[in-house]
Amino acid sequence: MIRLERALARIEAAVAVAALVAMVLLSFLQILARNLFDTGLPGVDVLLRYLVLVVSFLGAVLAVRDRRHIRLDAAVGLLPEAWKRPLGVGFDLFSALVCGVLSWAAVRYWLEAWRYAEVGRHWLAALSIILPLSLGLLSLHFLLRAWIGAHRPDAAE
Amino acid sequence: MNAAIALGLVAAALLGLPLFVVLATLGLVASWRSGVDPAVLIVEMHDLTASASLVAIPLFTLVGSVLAAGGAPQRLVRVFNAVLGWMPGGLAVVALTSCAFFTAFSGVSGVTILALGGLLYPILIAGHYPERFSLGLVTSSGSLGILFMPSLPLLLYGVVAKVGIDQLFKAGIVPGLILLVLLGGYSIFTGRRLDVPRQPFSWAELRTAARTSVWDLLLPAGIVIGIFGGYVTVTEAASCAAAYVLFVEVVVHRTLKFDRHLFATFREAVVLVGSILIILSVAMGLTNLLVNAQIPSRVLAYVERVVHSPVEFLLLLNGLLLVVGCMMDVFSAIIVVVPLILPLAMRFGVDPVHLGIIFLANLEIGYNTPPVGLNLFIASQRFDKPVFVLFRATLPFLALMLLWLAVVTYLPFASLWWRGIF
Repeated sequence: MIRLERALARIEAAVAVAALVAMVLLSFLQILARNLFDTGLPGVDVLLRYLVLVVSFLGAVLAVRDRRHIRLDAAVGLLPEAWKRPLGVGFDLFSALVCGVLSWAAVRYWLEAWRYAEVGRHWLAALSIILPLSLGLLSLHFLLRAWIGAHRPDAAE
Repeated sequence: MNAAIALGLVAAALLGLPLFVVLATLGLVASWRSGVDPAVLIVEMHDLTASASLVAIPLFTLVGSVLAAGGAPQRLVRVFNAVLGWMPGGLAVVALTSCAFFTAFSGVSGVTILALGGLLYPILIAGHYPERFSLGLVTSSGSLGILFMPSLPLLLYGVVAKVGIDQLFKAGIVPGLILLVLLGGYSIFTGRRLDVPRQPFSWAELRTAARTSVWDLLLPAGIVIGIFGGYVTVTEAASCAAAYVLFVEVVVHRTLKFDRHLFATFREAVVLVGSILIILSVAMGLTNLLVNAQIPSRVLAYVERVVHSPVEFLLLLNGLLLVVGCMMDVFSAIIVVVPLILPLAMRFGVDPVHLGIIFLANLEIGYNTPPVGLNLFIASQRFDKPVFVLFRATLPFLALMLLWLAVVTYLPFASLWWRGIF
């Protein structure tokens, strides 16, 4: 499970970083094209906004393994030490459930968007698959975290 | 039933359930209770792509990560030290200026304390500044600069409140400078009073330091001129800044190479963006459901009954936000609280741009407010001091910042002077 998590995270990081690199390149090329040649590159502005989705949602997926999700956790210090691990596993399972429900909603949304996409806009609908995909990955990563937290607490940190 | 669910979620949040899961659960419950397909939450997530200014957030975050990884903090401390170090309290002023400068680009004060505080604290101690003053200084400086362009909290407020980001950039400058001058004045006063030894001014050191950091200093200058002069949009400025810092660190300074380290720098930016924008994406769906359930208008009606004047409203707002600021980090606070406060503020005639500045000023202070201010805990870990020591160390700074908050809140002119000029 730990290896699976690591392998997944490598792929996700590679895709997310590639998307961010593409954002830098495309946005800069767009500025050059506008100012030097007086023409915008078609579709780049829309593509950039979708790349933001790719970067943010894959970033959120990676944040599960990195333990970097924003928490309020003001009351954690009050808990007895022995409760922290089971509670953490429970929260991971609950998060997996919530993300799972969201990704199911996202799959249905995506299918609709694909079916009703206008001619020539199918590439945008295709890009939107990042939502169901990354919500599913979020759910999977929370499950993996729960398993690792329960079975290999030494590797959980 | 609703109350039980809400209470359970608040408890779970306080015990460490990730905030985006808390908000997503609320969203799912709200859609289920009102008989709406949960796909509306996904529609709102997808609508994130409609916001053009959102593109600036990952790009400016990348700028901050690249600068941090490329050693900009060290170069900044060196050049500010060469320029300001000779004054009484000079080193302290150097610390304030470098922190403000760096936070404007990294936007997350925890990072400033970790990256710069760790660098500055030993220098201050070696320069014979008292321990308590030094601790208070580096801890409170962790949130300085949040009002200076292109800080992430400003960008995020612009996106959430649908206010022009260039306007927020202009509005933040004077309030940010006032705080810098206040805290700088206090540092000079302390340096004088305690007779901290001063260092001589050296032209040779200034020349060398300026040569190494000239590229870093050109960046904010370029952004200010580009945006104030109307040459570029905020997103274009972000794109140019990202390309520029990559060029500077990889080609000019050669601090970064095309290797794992550069990959890790990009990955760092990706995770930071992801952890913030996932909250925004689920919160947008929730806000929409709340609006449909007429929650904001009910809150408005209630507040209208209790509060009668704008001044009263601002006082309440300050109080509420100070509490929020010490419970939540600045990003979640903006995402969750701004949509609820904005209609109220409009009703009481508070300008949304001014509201943004009040909001961030409050949160900046909340970071340092006992008992749960985040900066205190980060500093406590970083410098290995009990949190209580840091409470005491930051008190004088906190008092000055509260004074500043009053100025920023009740003198809208400080934030809005540029209207009609630029």
